[in-house]
Amino acid sequence: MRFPLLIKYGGFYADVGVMQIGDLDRLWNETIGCPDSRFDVVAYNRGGVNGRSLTNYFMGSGRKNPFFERCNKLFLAIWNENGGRTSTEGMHESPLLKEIPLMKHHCEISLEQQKELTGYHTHEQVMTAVMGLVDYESDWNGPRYIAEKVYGIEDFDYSDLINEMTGWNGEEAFKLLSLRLPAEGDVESEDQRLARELNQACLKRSFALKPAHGMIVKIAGETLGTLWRANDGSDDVPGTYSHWLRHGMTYWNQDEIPPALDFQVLAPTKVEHLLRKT
Amino acid sequence: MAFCIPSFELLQIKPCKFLRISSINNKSHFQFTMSLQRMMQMRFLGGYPGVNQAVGVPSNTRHFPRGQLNTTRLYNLHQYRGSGIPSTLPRNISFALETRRFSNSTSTSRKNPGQGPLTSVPTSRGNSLRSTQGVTGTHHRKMSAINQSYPVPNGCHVIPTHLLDLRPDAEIDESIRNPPPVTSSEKNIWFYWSTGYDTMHNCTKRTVRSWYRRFSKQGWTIRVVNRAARSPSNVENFLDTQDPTVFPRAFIDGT
Repeated sequence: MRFPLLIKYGGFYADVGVMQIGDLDRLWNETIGCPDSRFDVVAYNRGGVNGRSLTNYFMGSGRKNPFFERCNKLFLAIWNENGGRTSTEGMHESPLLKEIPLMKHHCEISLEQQKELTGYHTHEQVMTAVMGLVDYESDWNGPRYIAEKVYGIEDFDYSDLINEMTGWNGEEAFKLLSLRLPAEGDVESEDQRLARELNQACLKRSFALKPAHGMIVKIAGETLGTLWRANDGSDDVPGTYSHWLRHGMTYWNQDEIPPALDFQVLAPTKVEHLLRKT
Repeated sequence: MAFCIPSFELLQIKPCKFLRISSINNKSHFQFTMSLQRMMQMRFLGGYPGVNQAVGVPSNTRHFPRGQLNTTRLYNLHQYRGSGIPSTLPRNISFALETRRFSNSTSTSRKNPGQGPLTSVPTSRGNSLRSTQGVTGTHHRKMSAINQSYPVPNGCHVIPTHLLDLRPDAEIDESIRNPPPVTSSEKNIWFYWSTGYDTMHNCTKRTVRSWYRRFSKQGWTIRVVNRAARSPSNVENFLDTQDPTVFPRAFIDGT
Protein backbone atom coordinates (compact mmCIF):
# COMPACT_ATOMS: atom_id res chain seq x y z
CA MET A 1 0.00 0.00 0.00
CA ARG A 2 2.98 2.30 0.14
CA PHE A 3 3.07 2.72 -3.63
CA PRO A 4 -0.68 3.47 -3.96
CA LEU A 5 -0.61 6.00 -1.12
CA LEU A 6 2.31 7.87 -2.64
CA ILE A 7 0.81 7.73 -6.12
CA LYS A 8 -2.55 9.08 -5.02
CA TYR A 9 -1.50 11.63 -2.41
CA GLY A 10 2.26 12.16 -2.51
CA GLY A 11 4.50 12.72 0.49
CA PHE A 12 6.69 10.25 2.32
CA TYR A 13 6.03 6.67 3.28
CA ALA A 14 8.01 5.37 6.27
CA ASP A 15 7.94 2.19 8.30
CA VAL A 16 6.76 2.81 11.86
CA GLY A 17 10.21 1.95 13.18
CA VAL A 18 12.04 4.66 11.26
CA MET A 19 13.24 7.32 13.67
CA GLN A 20 13.69 10.55 11.80
CA ILE A 21 16.61 12.72 12.85
CA GLY A 22 17.45 14.97 9.92
CA ASP A 23 15.55 17.86 8.47
CA LEU A 24 12.89 16.17 6.38
CA ASP A 25 10.98 19.38 5.78
CA ARG A 26 14.03 21.09 4.34
CA LEU A 27 14.87 18.07 2.21
CA TRP A 28 11.35 18.13 0.80
CA ASN A 29 11.42 21.87 0.23
CA GLU A 30 14.68 21.60 -1.67
CA THR A 31 13.67 18.61 -3.78
CA ILE A 32 10.18 17.28 -4.46
CA GLY A 33 8.49 20.35 -3.00
CA CYS A 34 10.55 22.79 -5.05
CA PRO A 35 9.31 23.52 -8.57
CA ASP A 36 12.83 24.36 -9.70
CA SER A 37 14.40 21.18 -8.38
CA ARG A 38 15.14 18.34 -10.77
CA PHE A 39 14.40 15.75 -8.10
CA ASP A 40 11.06 13.93 -8.04
CA VAL A 41 11.86 10.98 -5.76
CA VAL A 42 13.71 10.74 -2.43
CA ALA A 43 14.81 7.41 -0.96
CA TYR A 44 17.73 5.61 0.61
CA ASN A 45 19.84 3.61 -1.79
CA ARG A 46 22.02 0.60 -1.15
CA GLY A 47 25.34 -0.11 -2.80
CA GLY A 48 26.74 3.34 -3.34
CA VAL A 49 26.50 5.45 -6.44
CA ASN A 50 26.38 2.45 -8.74
CA GLY A 51 23.82 0.62 -6.64
CA ARG A 52 20.26 0.61 -7.90
CA SER A 53 18.51 -0.60 -4.81
CA LEU A 54 16.13 1.82 -3.15
CA THR A 55 14.88 0.87 0.30
CA ASN A 56 11.20 0.29 0.88
CA TYR A 57 11.15 1.61 4.43
CA PHE A 58 11.39 5.25 3.50
CA MET A 59 10.55 6.88 0.21
CA GLY A 60 8.92 10.02 -1.03
CA SER A 61 7.47 11.61 -4.15
CA GLY A 62 4.74 13.88 -5.39
CA ARG A 63 1.41 12.60 -6.75
CA LYS A 64 1.22 10.40 -9.84
CA ASN A 65 4.93 9.84 -9.91
CA PRO A 66 5.78 7.91 -13.09
CA PHE A 67 8.42 5.83 -11.33
CA PHE A 68 6.17 4.66 -8.51
CA GLU A 69 3.26 4.17 -10.92
CA ARG A 70 5.35 1.69 -12.85
CA CYS A 71 6.57 0.07 -9.67
CA ASN A 72 3.02 -0.56 -8.56
CA LYS A 73 2.01 -1.89 -11.97
CA LEU A 74 4.87 -4.36 -11.91
CA PHE A 75 4.19 -5.23 -8.30
CA LEU A 76 0.54 -6.04 -9.09
CA ALA A 77 1.50 -8.06 -12.16
CA ILE A 78 3.83 -10.21 -10.08
CA TRP A 79 1.24 -10.68 -7.34
CA ASN A 80 -1.37 -11.67 -9.89
CA GLU A 81 0.82 -14.15 -11.74
CA ASN A 82 -0.27 -17.77 -12.04
CA GLY A 83 -3.85 -16.96 -11.17
CA GLY A 84 -2.85 -14.88 -8.16
CA ARG A 85 -0.35 -15.42 -5.38
CA THR A 86 -1.26 -15.44 -1.72
CA SER A 87 2.17 -14.61 -0.34
CA THR A 88 5.49 -13.11 -1.37
CA GLU A 89 7.05 -16.56 -1.39
CA GLY A 90 8.60 -17.38 -4.74
CA MET A 91 8.10 -13.88 -6.08
CA HIS A 92 11.79 -13.53 -6.79
CA GLU A 93 11.42 -16.34 -9.31
CA SER A 94 8.95 -14.33 -11.35
CA PRO A 95 10.04 -14.07 -15.00
CA LEU A 96 9.40 -10.34 -14.68
CA LEU A 97 12.19 -10.08 -12.12
CA LYS A 98 14.67 -12.42 -13.69
CA GLU A 99 17.17 -9.65 -14.47
CA ILE A 100 17.29 -8.66 -10.82
CA PRO A 101 19.83 -10.37 -8.56
CA LEU A 102 18.83 -11.78 -5.21
CA MET A 103 19.37 -9.49 -2.28
CA LYS A 104 22.48 -9.86 -0.28
CA HIS A 105 22.84 -8.51 3.16
CA HIS A 106 25.43 -7.56 5.69
CA CYS A 107 27.04 -10.93 6.00
CA GLU A 108 27.53 -14.00 3.92
CA ILE A 109 24.17 -15.68 3.91
CA SER A 110 22.87 -18.87 2.40
CA LEU A 111 20.99 -18.98 -0.85
CA GLU A 112 17.85 -19.88 1.06
CA GLN A 113 18.23 -16.85 3.27
CA GLN A 114 18.83 -14.69 0.23
CA LYS A 115 15.61 -15.95 -1.32
CA GLU A 116 13.70 -15.33 1.87
CA LEU A 117 15.06 -11.84 2.21
CA THR A 118 14.29 -11.14 -1.40
CA GLY A 119 10.71 -12.35 -1.08
CA TYR A 120 10.27 -10.09 1.90
CA HIS A 121 11.64 -7.14 0.00
CA THR A 122 9.68 -7.55 -3.20
CA HIS A 123 8.98 -3.83 -3.24
CA GLU A 124 12.67 -3.23 -3.52
CA GLN A 125 13.15 -5.80 -6.27
CA VAL A 126 10.38 -4.15 -8.18
CA MET A 127 11.95 -0.72 -7.79
CA THR A 128 15.30 -2.06 -8.94
CA ALA A 129 13.61 -3.58 -11.99
CA VAL A 130 11.93 -0.30 -12.94
CA MET A 131 15.17 1.61 -12.37
CA GLY A 132 16.91 -0.59 -14.93
CA LEU A 133 14.06 -0.75 -17.40
CA VAL A 134 13.83 0.93 -20.78
CA ASP A 135 10.28 0.58 -22.11
CA TYR A 136 9.87 2.43 -25.39
CA GLU A 137 6.17 1.59 -25.57
CA SER A 138 5.38 3.63 -22.49
CA ASP A 139 8.16 6.14 -23.01
CA TRP A 140 10.13 5.09 -19.95
CA ASN A 141 13.88 5.30 -19.60
CA GLY A 142 14.63 4.11 -16.07
CA PRO A 143 18.41 4.62 -16.07
CA ARG A 144 17.99 8.21 -17.23
CA TYR A 145 15.15 8.90 -14.83
CA ILE A 146 17.27 7.71 -11.91
CA ALA A 147 20.19 9.88 -12.90
CA GLU A 148 18.01 12.94 -13.38
CA LYS A 149 15.18 12.68 -10.89
CA VAL A 150 16.09 10.49 -7.93
CA TYR A 151 17.63 11.97 -4.79
CA GLY A 152 19.30 8.82 -3.50
CA ILE A 153 20.75 8.89 0.00
CA GLU A 154 23.46 6.41 0.91
CA ASP A 155 21.80 4.05 3.37
CA PHE A 156 25.00 2.94 5.17
CA ASP A 157 25.86 6.40 6.31
CA TYR A 158 22.49 7.98 6.67
CA SER A 159 20.06 5.37 7.98
CA ASP A 160 22.07 2.35 9.01
CA LEU A 161 24.82 4.25 10.80
CA ILE A 162 24.06 2.86 14.24
CA ASN A 163 24.05 -0.67 12.85
CA GLU A 164 27.26 -0.01 11.00
CA MET A 165 28.98 1.44 14.02
CA THR A 166 28.08 -1.52 16.18
CA GLY A 167 28.86 -4.08 13.50
CA TRP A 168 25.18 -5.07 13.27
CA ASN A 169 25.42 -6.25 16.86
CA GLY A 170 22.01 -5.27 18.19
CA GLU A 171 22.73 -6.48 21.68
CA GLU A 172 25.78 -4.28 21.85
CA ALA A 173 23.84 -1.24 20.67
CA PHE A 174 21.04 -2.00 23.12
CA LYS A 175 23.42 -2.44 26.02
CA LEU A 176 25.23 0.81 25.31
CA LEU A 177 22.14 2.92 24.76
CA SER A 178 20.52 1.58 27.92
CA LEU A 179 23.37 2.94 30.04
CA ARG A 180 22.86 6.06 32.09
CA LEU A 181 24.91 9.14 31.38
CA PRO A 182 27.51 9.83 34.05
CA ALA A 183 26.32 11.94 36.94
CA GLU A 184 27.63 15.47 37.15
CA GLY A 185 31.26 15.27 38.18
CA ASP A 186 31.62 11.54 37.52
CA VAL A 187 34.19 10.27 35.08
CA GLU A 188 32.82 8.81 31.91
CA SER A 189 33.41 5.07 31.60
CA GLU A 190 34.61 3.43 28.42
CA ASP A 191 31.14 2.15 27.61
CA GLN A 192 29.59 5.53 28.34
CA ARG A 193 32.05 7.09 25.96
CA LEU A 194 31.08 4.62 23.26
CA ALA A 195 27.39 5.25 23.84
CA ARG A 196 27.97 8.99 23.67
CA GLU A 197 29.89 8.64 20.44
CA LEU A 198 27.08 6.57 18.98
CA ASN A 199 24.52 9.18 19.97
CA GLN A 200 26.57 12.10 18.76
CA ALA A 201 27.36 10.47 15.44
CA CYS A 202 23.75 9.46 14.85
CA LEU A 203 22.27 12.79 15.85
CA LYS A 204 24.77 14.70 13.80
CA ARG A 205 25.00 12.60 10.67
CA SER A 206 22.40 9.89 10.45
CA PHE A 207 19.37 11.24 8.59
CA ALA A 208 17.25 8.61 10.28
CA LEU A 209 17.75 5.68 12.55
CA LYS A 210 16.36 2.40 11.40
CA PRO A 211 16.44 -0.21 14.14
CA ALA A 212 15.83 -3.26 12.01
CA HIS A 213 12.87 -5.57 12.52
CA GLY A 214 11.32 -8.18 10.34
CA MET A 215 13.14 -10.58 8.13
CA ILE A 216 16.62 -9.32 8.86
CA VAL A 217 16.25 -10.51 12.43
CA LYS A 218 16.22 -14.08 11.17
CA ILE A 219 19.55 -13.46 9.54
CA ALA A 220 21.41 -11.01 11.72
CA GLY A 221 19.99 -11.99 15.11
CA GLU A 222 18.53 -9.63 17.68
CA THR A 223 18.54 -6.00 16.69
CA LEU A 224 18.15 -2.78 18.59
CA GLY A 225 14.56 -2.68 17.36
CA THR A 226 13.61 -6.15 18.56
CA LEU A 227 15.29 -5.57 21.90
CA TRP A 228 13.46 -2.29 22.44
CA ARG A 229 10.20 -4.04 21.68
CA ALA A 230 10.99 -6.96 23.94
CA ASN A 231 12.06 -4.71 26.81
CA ASP A 232 9.14 -2.35 26.94
CA GLY A 233 10.09 1.12 28.08
CA SER A 234 13.82 0.51 27.90
CA ASP A 235 14.18 3.14 25.19
CA ASP A 236 12.47 5.74 27.33
CA VAL A 237 14.28 5.85 30.65
CA PRO A 238 15.28 9.44 31.47
CA GLY A 239 18.99 9.86 31.95
CA THR A 240 19.96 7.09 29.55
CA TYR A 241 21.59 7.40 26.17
CA SER A 242 18.41 6.06 24.51
CA HIS A 243 16.42 8.83 26.09
CA TRP A 244 18.98 11.38 24.99
CA LEU A 245 18.73 10.01 21.47
CA ARG A 246 14.94 10.24 21.52
CA HIS A 247 15.10 13.71 23.00
CA GLY A 248 17.38 14.81 20.19
CA MET A 249 15.08 13.36 17.56
CA THR A 250 12.20 15.49 18.76
CA TYR A 251 13.79 18.71 19.92
CA TRP A 252 16.83 19.13 17.69
CA ASN A 253 17.54 19.28 14.02
CA GLN A 254 20.60 18.70 11.91
CA ASP A 255 22.37 21.64 10.35
CA GLU A 256 22.79 19.85 7.02
CA ILE A 257 20.75 17.55 4.85
CA PRO A 258 22.39 14.45 3.42
CA PRO A 259 23.86 14.81 -0.06
CA ALA A 260 22.34 13.08 -3.07
CA LEU A 261 24.29 10.25 -4.63
CA ASP A 262 25.63 11.40 -7.97
CA PHE A 263 23.76 8.86 -10.06
CA GLN A 264 24.91 8.48 -13.63
CA VAL A 265 23.04 6.85 -16.48
CA LEU A 266 23.85 3.14 -16.34
CA ALA A 267 23.14 0.52 -18.96
CA PRO A 268 19.57 -0.78 -18.79
CA THR A 269 18.97 -4.22 -17.29
CA LYS A 270 15.95 -4.82 -19.51
CA VAL A 271 14.69 -3.27 -22.72
CA GLU A 272 11.13 -4.43 -23.13
CA HIS A 273 7.59 -3.62 -22.09
CA LEU A 274 7.29 -3.32 -18.30
CA LEU A 275 5.00 -6.32 -18.03
CA ARG A 276 6.54 -8.51 -20.71
CA LYS A 277 9.26 -10.99 -19.92
CA THR A 278 12.36 -11.08 -22.04
CA MET B 1 49.57 19.09 14.00
CA ALA B 2 48.12 17.35 11.09
CA PHE B 3 45.61 14.96 12.45
CA CYS B 4 44.87 12.91 9.44
CA ILE B 5 47.60 10.80 7.98
CA PRO B 6 46.33 8.21 5.59
CA SER B 7 48.30 5.04 5.60
CA PHE B 8 47.85 1.70 4.06
CA GLU B 9 48.39 -1.66 5.51
CA LEU B 10 48.10 -5.00 3.93
CA LEU B 11 46.67 -7.43 6.35
CA GLN B 12 46.29 -11.12 6.44
CA ILE B 13 43.12 -11.98 8.23
CA LYS B 14 42.74 -15.36 9.73
CA PRO B 15 39.33 -16.76 10.53
CA CYS B 16 38.07 -14.77 13.47
CA LYS B 17 35.03 -12.83 14.35
CA PHE B 18 36.51 -9.44 14.76
CA LEU B 19 39.44 -7.69 13.39
CA ARG B 20 41.34 -5.12 15.34
CA ILE B 21 43.63 -2.77 13.56
CA SER B 22 45.80 -0.40 15.46
CA SER B 23 47.85 2.35 14.02
CA ILE B 24 51.20 1.37 12.67
CA ASN B 25 53.42 3.25 15.06
CA ASN B 26 51.26 2.71 18.14
CA LYS B 27 51.45 6.39 18.90
CA SER B 28 47.97 7.26 17.92
CA HIS B 29 44.95 6.53 19.99
CA PHE B 30 42.95 5.42 17.06
CA GLN B 31 41.99 1.87 16.67
CA PHE B 32 39.44 0.57 14.30
CA THR B 33 37.66 -2.64 14.71
CA MET B 34 35.14 -4.09 12.38
CA SER B 35 33.08 -7.17 12.45
CA LEU B 36 33.70 -9.98 10.09
CA GLN B 37 30.15 -9.51 8.91
CA ARG B 38 31.05 -6.09 7.74
CA MET B 39 34.21 -7.34 6.09
CA MET B 40 32.18 -9.84 4.17
CA GLN B 41 29.77 -7.16 3.18
CA MET B 42 32.63 -5.08 1.91
CA ARG B 43 33.81 -7.97 -0.15
CA PHE B 44 30.39 -8.24 -1.76
CA LEU B 45 30.46 -4.64 -2.64
CA GLY B 46 33.93 -4.78 -4.05
CA GLY B 47 35.56 -2.45 -1.61
CA TYR B 48 33.31 -0.25 0.39
CA PRO B 49 34.34 2.02 2.11
CA GLY B 50 38.04 2.25 2.57
CA VAL B 51 38.58 -1.38 1.85
CA ASN B 52 39.41 -3.01 -1.38
CA GLN B 53 39.15 -6.69 -1.76
CA ALA B 54 41.99 -6.99 -4.18
CA VAL B 55 45.27 -7.69 -2.49
CA GLY B 56 47.74 -4.89 -2.61
CA VAL B 57 45.48 -2.30 -4.16
CA PRO B 58 45.52 0.82 -2.05
CA SER B 59 42.01 1.99 -1.49
CA ASN B 60 42.73 5.49 -2.54
CA THR B 61 39.40 6.12 -4.08
CA ARG B 62 37.17 5.82 -1.07
CA HIS B 63 37.32 7.09 2.43
CA PHE B 64 35.73 6.23 5.66
CA PRO B 65 32.62 8.20 6.29
CA ARG B 66 33.21 10.60 9.10
CA GLY B 67 31.25 9.01 11.85
CA GLN B 68 32.98 5.72 11.64
CA LEU B 69 36.26 7.20 12.59
CA ASN B 70 34.80 8.07 15.91
CA THR B 71 34.03 4.44 16.48
CA THR B 72 36.81 3.14 18.57
CA ARG B 73 34.98 0.18 19.97
CA LEU B 74 37.17 -2.77 20.64
CA TYR B 75 35.01 -5.76 20.29
CA ASN B 76 35.71 -8.68 22.47
CA LEU B 77 35.33 -11.89 20.59
CA HIS B 78 33.70 -13.58 23.51
CA GLN B 79 31.17 -10.87 24.09
CA TYR B 80 29.73 -11.19 20.68
CA ARG B 81 26.57 -13.18 20.68
CA GLY B 82 25.11 -12.31 17.33
CA SER B 83 24.10 -15.19 15.14
CA GLY B 84 24.94 -13.72 11.79
CA ILE B 85 28.45 -15.05 11.50
CA PRO B 86 28.61 -17.76 8.91
CA SER B 87 30.12 -20.96 10.17
CA THR B 88 32.40 -21.51 7.24
CA LEU B 89 34.68 -18.77 6.11
CA PRO B 90 37.36 -18.51 3.55
CA ARG B 91 40.69 -18.86 5.22
CA ASN B 92 43.13 -16.01 5.12
CA ILE B 93 41.14 -13.30 3.52
CA SER B 94 43.54 -10.70 2.24
CA PHE B 95 42.70 -7.13 1.67
CA ALA B 96 44.08 -3.71 1.96
CA LEU B 97 42.75 -1.53 4.65
CA GLU B 98 43.06 2.18 4.82
CA THR B 99 43.51 3.48 8.28
CA ARG B 100 43.81 7.06 9.30
CA ARG B 101 45.59 8.06 12.39
CA PHE B 102 45.10 11.01 14.55
CA SER B 103 46.88 11.71 17.73
CA ASN B 104 44.06 12.90 19.85
CA SER B 105 40.55 13.41 18.69
CA THR B 106 39.65 15.76 21.49
CA SER B 107 42.39 18.24 20.96
CA THR B 108 42.01 17.93 17.23
CA SER B 109 38.43 18.97 17.30
CA ARG B 110 39.25 21.97 19.40
CA LYS B 111 42.17 23.10 17.32
CA ASN B 112 40.52 22.50 14.00
CA PRO B 113 36.85 23.05 14.48
CA GLY B 114 34.92 22.05 11.44
CA GLN B 115 37.96 21.32 9.36
CA GLY B 116 38.89 18.18 7.58
CA PRO B 117 37.14 14.89 7.47
CA LEU B 118 37.73 14.06 11.08
CA THR B 119 35.76 16.75 12.77
CA SER B 120 35.17 14.88 15.93
CA VAL B 121 32.66 15.32 18.62
CA PRO B 122 33.57 16.82 21.96
CA THR B 123 34.51 14.14 24.40
CA SER B 124 33.61 15.90 27.55
CA ARG B 125 30.05 16.62 28.44
CA GLY B 126 31.18 19.72 30.17
CA ASN B 127 32.46 21.13 26.91
CA SER B 128 29.37 20.43 24.95
CA LEU B 129 26.64 22.83 24.24
CA ARG B 130 23.61 22.07 26.24
CA SER B 131 20.04 22.15 25.32
CA THR B 132 18.52 25.05 27.09
CA GLN B 133 15.13 24.37 25.68
CA GLY B 134 12.64 25.35 28.31
CA VAL B 135 10.32 22.43 28.30
CA THR B 136 8.26 22.75 31.39
CA GLY B 137 6.88 19.46 32.42
CA THR B 138 3.54 20.31 33.91
CA HIS B 139 1.58 19.45 30.82
CA HIS B 140 3.97 17.00 29.28
CA ARG B 141 4.46 13.69 31.00
CA LYS B 142 7.62 12.59 29.27
CA MET B 143 9.47 15.79 29.38
CA SER B 144 8.56 16.50 32.97
CA ALA B 145 10.81 13.62 33.85
CA ILE B 146 13.83 15.41 32.50
CA ASN B 147 15.47 17.45 35.13
CA GLN B 148 18.66 17.30 33.22
CA SER B 149 19.47 18.54 29.80
CA TYR B 150 21.33 16.56 27.22
CA PRO B 151 24.28 17.88 25.24
CA VAL B 152 23.47 19.03 21.74
CA PRO B 153 26.03 17.49 19.38
CA ASN B 154 28.01 19.63 16.99
CA GLY B 155 26.14 19.81 13.72
CA CYS B 156 22.75 19.97 15.41
CA HIS B 157 20.65 22.84 16.62
CA VAL B 158 17.67 23.22 18.92
CA ILE B 159 14.34 23.59 17.12
CA PRO B 160 12.37 26.68 18.20
CA THR B 161 9.52 25.60 20.45
CA HIS B 162 6.82 27.17 18.29
CA LEU B 163 7.68 24.68 15.54
CA LEU B 164 7.01 21.71 17.81
CA ASP B 165 3.71 20.22 18.94
CA LEU B 166 4.37 19.67 22.62
CA ARG B 167 0.93 18.62 23.73
CA PRO B 168 0.76 15.57 26.04
CA ASP B 169 1.14 12.12 24.55
CA ALA B 170 -2.57 11.35 24.92
CA GLU B 171 -3.53 14.35 22.80
CA ILE B 172 -0.98 13.53 20.14
CA ASP B 173 -2.31 9.97 20.07
CA GLU B 174 -5.85 11.25 19.65
CA SER B 175 -4.75 13.35 16.69
CA ILE B 176 -2.99 10.38 15.11
CA ARG B 177 -6.07 8.18 15.60
CA ASN B 178 -8.27 10.74 13.89
CA PRO B 179 -6.41 11.96 10.85
CA PRO B 180 -7.79 14.96 9.00
CA PRO B 181 -9.13 14.54 5.47
CA VAL B 182 -6.55 14.71 2.73
CA THR B 183 -6.19 18.01 0.97
CA SER B 184 -4.38 19.18 -2.11
CA SER B 185 -1.17 19.31 -0.07
CA GLU B 186 1.41 16.67 -0.79
CA LYS B 187 3.02 17.10 2.61
CA ASN B 188 1.80 13.75 3.86
CA ILE B 189 3.71 11.27 5.98
CA TRP B 190 2.27 7.80 5.69
CA PHE B 191 2.79 4.92 8.07
CA TYR B 192 1.02 1.59 8.08
CA TRP B 193 0.24 -0.79 10.90
CA SER B 194 -2.42 -3.31 9.96
CA THR B 195 -4.14 -3.55 13.32
CA GLY B 196 -3.99 0.17 14.06
CA TYR B 197 -1.93 2.69 15.97
CA ASP B 198 -3.19 1.60 19.38
CA THR B 199 -1.83 -1.90 18.88
CA MET B 200 1.67 -0.74 18.03
CA HIS B 201 4.59 -1.36 20.36
CA ASN B 202 5.18 1.48 22.79
CA CYS B 203 8.60 2.21 21.35
CA THR B 204 7.23 2.63 17.83
CA LYS B 205 4.41 4.79 19.16
CA ARG B 206 7.05 7.02 20.66
CA THR B 207 8.76 7.12 17.30
CA VAL B 208 5.61 8.11 15.43
CA ARG B 209 4.78 10.70 18.10
CA SER B 210 8.20 12.22 17.51
CA TRP B 211 7.39 12.58 13.81
CA TYR B 212 4.12 14.22 14.77
CA ARG B 213 5.60 16.62 17.31
CA ARG B 214 8.39 17.54 14.99
CA PHE B 215 6.74 17.95 11.60
CA SER B 216 3.02 18.63 11.99
CA LYS B 217 3.49 22.35 12.64
CA GLN B 218 5.52 22.60 9.46
CA GLY B 219 2.48 21.58 7.49
CA TRP B 220 2.91 17.82 7.44
CA THR B 221 -0.01 15.50 8.09
CA ILE B 222 1.05 12.31 9.82
CA ARG B 223 -1.19 9.28 9.34
CA VAL B 224 -0.88 5.68 10.46
CA VAL B 225 -3.25 3.86 8.13
CA ASN B 226 -4.54 0.42 9.01
CA ARG B 227 -7.05 -2.26 8.14
CA ALA B 228 -8.84 -2.18 11.47
CA ALA B 229 -12.62 -2.20 11.29
CA ARG B 230 -14.32 1.16 11.93
CA SER B 231 -11.04 2.99 12.32
CA PRO B 232 -10.93 6.47 10.79
CA SER B 233 -7.43 5.50 9.63
CA ASN B 234 -8.64 2.46 7.71
CA VAL B 235 -6.99 2.37 4.33
CA GLU B 236 -10.46 2.17 2.74
CA ASN B 237 -10.86 5.83 3.65
CA PHE B 238 -7.89 6.69 1.50
CA LEU B 239 -7.71 4.17 -1.32
CA ASP B 240 -10.21 2.12 -3.33
CA THR B 241 -9.41 -1.29 -1.90
CA GLN B 242 -11.50 -2.99 -4.59
CA ASP B 243 -9.64 -1.46 -7.50
CA PRO B 244 -7.53 -4.08 -9.28
CA THR B 245 -5.29 -1.37 -10.70
CA VAL B 246 -4.34 -0.40 -7.15
CA PHE B 247 -4.25 -3.62 -5.14
CA PRO B 248 -3.33 -7.22 -5.92
CA ARG B 249 -6.13 -9.76 -6.21
CA ALA B 250 -5.01 -11.41 -3.00
CA PHE B 251 -5.57 -8.16 -1.12
CA ILE B 252 -8.96 -7.50 -2.72
CA ASP B 253 -10.13 -11.05 -2.09
CA GLY B 254 -8.74 -10.96 1.42
CA THR B 255 -6.64 -14.08 0.95
